[in-house]
Amino acid sequence: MPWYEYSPSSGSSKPFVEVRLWHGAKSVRLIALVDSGADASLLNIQYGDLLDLDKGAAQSVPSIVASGEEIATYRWPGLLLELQFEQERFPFEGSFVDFGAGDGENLVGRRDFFQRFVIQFWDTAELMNIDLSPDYPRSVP
Amino acid sequence: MTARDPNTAPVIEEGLAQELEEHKGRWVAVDQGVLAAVADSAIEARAGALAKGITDPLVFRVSAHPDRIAFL
Repeated sequence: MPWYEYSPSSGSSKPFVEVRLWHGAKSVRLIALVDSGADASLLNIQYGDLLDLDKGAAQSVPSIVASGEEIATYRWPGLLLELQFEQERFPFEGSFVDFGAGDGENLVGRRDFFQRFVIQFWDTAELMNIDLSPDYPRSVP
Repeated sequence: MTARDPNTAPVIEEGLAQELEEHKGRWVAVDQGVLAAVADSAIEARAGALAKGITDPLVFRVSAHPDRIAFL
């Protein structure tokens, strides 16, 4: 699955990928920025709405972001949520954030996405190489 | 294949990216690279796509400030 082209975004290009978030038999396709600087994946909490996750049952966890600011993130520790990229499906180890009227992009980070894949960024060519980690068996499409 | 040949097209193609410029800060549903619905929430965007018979759209919020990386 190696080379993926960056996507145009307001005059620049960003390393977006399409992933699918699963909760049981329900799923939603979304795009996320591949972010090697993100300790954990972070998704907009509105995807929880799409998967019928009960916000009242979410666990609020304070998280420190790169700016040093503390924000509230949400998790459902009792639920199995999974990410899927191409044919690979694996546990989602990140959290959700309520951006409200503010801005923010979905991120896939080190605790799940980067555990599963070996990733190289080639910014000059606006390409990234995403290959399955040798720690995991290759599935046959 | 040369090293510069991507295996896959970008998630957002140039034409769609230009179209999305008009919808910054809103939620969209996209099907096969075509904008299917625009709304103020993820649920509404998906519902708009479902109303058009699109059962599995790509749903995301168009960044209002794309030059500002989230959380940096």
